[in-house]
Amino acid sequence: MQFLLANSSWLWLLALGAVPILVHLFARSNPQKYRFSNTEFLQRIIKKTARMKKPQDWLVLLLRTLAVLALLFAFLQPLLTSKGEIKVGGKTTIFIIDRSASMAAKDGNTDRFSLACQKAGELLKSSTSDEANIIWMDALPDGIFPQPGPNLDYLRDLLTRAEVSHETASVASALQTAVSQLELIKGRREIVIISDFQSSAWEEFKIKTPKGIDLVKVQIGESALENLSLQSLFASPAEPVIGQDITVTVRVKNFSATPRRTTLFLESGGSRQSTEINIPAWGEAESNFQTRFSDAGLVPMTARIAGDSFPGDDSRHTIVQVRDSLQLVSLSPQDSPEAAALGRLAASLDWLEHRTSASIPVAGSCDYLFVHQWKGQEIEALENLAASGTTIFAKPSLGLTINALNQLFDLNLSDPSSQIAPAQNDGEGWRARISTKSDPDAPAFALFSSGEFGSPAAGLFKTRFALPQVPGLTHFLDYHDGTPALLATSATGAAAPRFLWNLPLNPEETTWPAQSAFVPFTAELLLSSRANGTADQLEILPGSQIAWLPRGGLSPESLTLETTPGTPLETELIMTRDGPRLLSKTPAAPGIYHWKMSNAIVHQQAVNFPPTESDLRLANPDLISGGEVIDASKLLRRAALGDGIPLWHWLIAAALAFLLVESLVTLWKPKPAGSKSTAPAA
Amino acid sequence: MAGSTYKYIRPEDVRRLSNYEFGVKALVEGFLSGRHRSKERGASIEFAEYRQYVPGDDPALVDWRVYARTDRHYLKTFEQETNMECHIFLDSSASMGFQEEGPITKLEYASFFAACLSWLVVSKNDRVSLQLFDDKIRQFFEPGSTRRHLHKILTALENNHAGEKTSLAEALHRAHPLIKRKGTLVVLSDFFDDPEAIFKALNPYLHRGFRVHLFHVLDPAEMTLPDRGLARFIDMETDHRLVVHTASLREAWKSEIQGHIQSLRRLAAGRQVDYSLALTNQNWFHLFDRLA
Repeated sequence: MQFLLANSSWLWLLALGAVPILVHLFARSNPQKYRFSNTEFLQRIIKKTARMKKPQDWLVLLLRTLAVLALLFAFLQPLLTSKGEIKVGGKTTIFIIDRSASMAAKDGNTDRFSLACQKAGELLKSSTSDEANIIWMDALPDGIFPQPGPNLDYLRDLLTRAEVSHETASVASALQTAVSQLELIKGRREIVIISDFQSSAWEEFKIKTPKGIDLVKVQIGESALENLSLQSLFASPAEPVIGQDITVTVRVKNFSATPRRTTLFLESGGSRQSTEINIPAWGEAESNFQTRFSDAGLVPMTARIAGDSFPGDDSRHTIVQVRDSLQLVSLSPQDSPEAAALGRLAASLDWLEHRTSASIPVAGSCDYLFVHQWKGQEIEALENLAASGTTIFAKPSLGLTINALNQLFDLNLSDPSSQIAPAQNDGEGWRARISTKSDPDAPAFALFSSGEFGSPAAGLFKTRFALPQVPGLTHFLDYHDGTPALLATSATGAAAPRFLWNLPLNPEETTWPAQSAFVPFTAELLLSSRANGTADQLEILPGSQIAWLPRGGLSPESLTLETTPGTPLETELIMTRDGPRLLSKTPAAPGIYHWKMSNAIVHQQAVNFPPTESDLRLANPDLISGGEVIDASKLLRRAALGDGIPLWHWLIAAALAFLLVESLVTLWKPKPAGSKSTAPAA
Repeated sequence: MAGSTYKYIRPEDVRRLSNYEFGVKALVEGFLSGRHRSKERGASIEFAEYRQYVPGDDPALVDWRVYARTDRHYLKTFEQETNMECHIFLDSSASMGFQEEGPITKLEYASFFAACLSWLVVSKNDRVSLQLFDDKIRQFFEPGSTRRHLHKILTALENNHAGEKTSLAEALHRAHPLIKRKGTLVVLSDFFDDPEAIFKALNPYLHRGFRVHLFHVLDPAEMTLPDRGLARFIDMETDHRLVVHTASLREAWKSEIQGHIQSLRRLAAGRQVDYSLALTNQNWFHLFDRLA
């Protein structure tokens, strides 16, 4: 048998049990004075009754103290459980405790995660389970034990030291882990989910547990908390070249029913900019900062807003890779006149380097790939390259089929087996112009909107391919007869656009490369056609380990990892197929991390708060299908009632009984030992 | 005396006492022959009875006329008429200063009675003496019957105050040699003393033929013990301090005080001493009934 207290946090109340004793002591210490004619009789009476009276007094005091203690105990809601004596099969409980970033929100003085751990601790203490386990619900849910174990004390101890993570909660994965652990266990099985039931993570979720597994949901957190959150920070382009204007876009979201106004700061490369931003209720606002960098390298950028009650998402970081130059690769023989034309173009631009290649280069090794004689070959390799951020320029060649076009450009042109025929103009040649279907405000035409540079496709073109009209692609240039001259897919995310280049570059076939408009147009086209991209490779997901594969002959042993304030982090070296890889031993919290060699920063990485965790609205666990919603106190009571008895009403009855007996004892007058008067001597 | 300004003799008391037919049964021997009937047989003009001569009687008292008629020796006895001598013992210890439920202190109450008694005795041309005592005799006024003597007594009563500890037995013992003639002994006290010791001290007086009246003066609160809750009781005589909860001791106190009264009453009855309980919330005139 064991006692447990449902209101153990009120244990201090028991100190009030000393009140009757203190009253007894202090009331007797300074009573009212009274001058009386004779106290000898009183002395005699006391002497006669002392033998009964003193025990009576002590008994009254004892009864009063017991009555008060019984009442106080009743407030603590003690439960008498029969743990350890009655075993009806085994019971296994798995506690899934949400430790996602939203659990750091504070409903009062205590954050939700601490409350969740406290409740879990109380439930574990009162649990009638023989075995238990805790599964932390974060991005990669994992259990404390590989299987539920009997060491509940260890779990309780662990709960006192647990910390909230900065990750999103993978609800399904956590449940799956719990179910897989319980599947092979016999007896009574129970899953207790302790979470804030954040709306963004739970609203659409349907809990499914196998038959025979009880599910209980315990909600932590009382109401939605207002929050202002930095949702995103990105630079466009993500990898600018030196001196290139870049736009840094910051999005702020308002998770409250009232419009908010705040100051937005951007720190980059030692400079700091700020702007006021108004965010509508339950809406978001975007602000752009313009900047440029004069040196190549990795530049950390941090956006901040004024702190609020949920500070985790009040700052955001990104790393911008400032490039010396961009790489243009011609997939053609080195001496081809078309590659030579592009070589001349690169020579006239500081930020562009050109080379030729006989094969498709590896991903990441170039920014642009110009396929001069594309017959429809290596479509998959080209797609992969585009997906990795290399802009593809494909110039049709003899034998190119509609099918190949469909595949590379995601088209659905009819007659896929037909080939695209080349065309020769033996006359003056064709003229091209800005397509009537194009956007005249497109960045590629920025210099040409004023007419200063003339037509971007000035000159004559004597060869071309008879491309059909291609719906679904963006038209840049068309020949005067409407034949498409330059078309492209749109850039999506990190993927770069793919251009269908139906313009000759060979000086024998066109006069365009010799025109003054050729260099500015192609330069603008190249700059504007880069993948928007994000510095994903420089961003680590919160909660995961910070990893880096050192390149360039850097010795992994000489590298150290530090957080932004200069706090070193332990790392470990693992060997991978690509070479030695450095990993942080602790999961990444939001911030900027520096890899250093002899105090020189050689690499930087950023970790950001997961935006989905900023919405602190709570879902109604009743509406989440599956399981039963119950508050922690009820669960405690139920745990005790499983094989225990609540004692509060017995204690109140005991208190009343004590008071009754105390009254009887008080009313009882002991008769003096001798009633015969024997007055004392004067 | 009708315009009295004495504290303890008020005009209304004087008027009431003037009409008082005071036949003190305790009167035994008087200074003025013929005023009070004496149980002593002796020279007097008031015939008492004849009784047969026994050897040792004064032959001069033989009534020869009866002898002539009856041929037997009879003595003619007469009632001896004397003046009254009243000795008042007034306890002036500290405990007599107690007042709770009564309108006046016990000392004032006893003083009123002593003053009235003195006035009454003197007004009948009898002699009265007064002793003020606590654990010793503080003041002693020899028997006297003059107005001047009465003035002294009344003034002494007015100037009297509650003093030290009580020892009635000791006071009685010390006063015994001071009282030359037997008479009526009136003791006014709260008798917070050992009853046995008190009556032991009274024995010499009783042997000398004194008629003794004990007036036990108590405040009504002393009969029940005032309800003061938890209080520190300070003894008025000894300054002894005692913390008690009155509610828990009241019944025992009543029992104790009743036992003490019963003890005094029993001892008094055994020695033909008149005992009377006088509560300060009652008029003291009813005490004169005890003397009638």
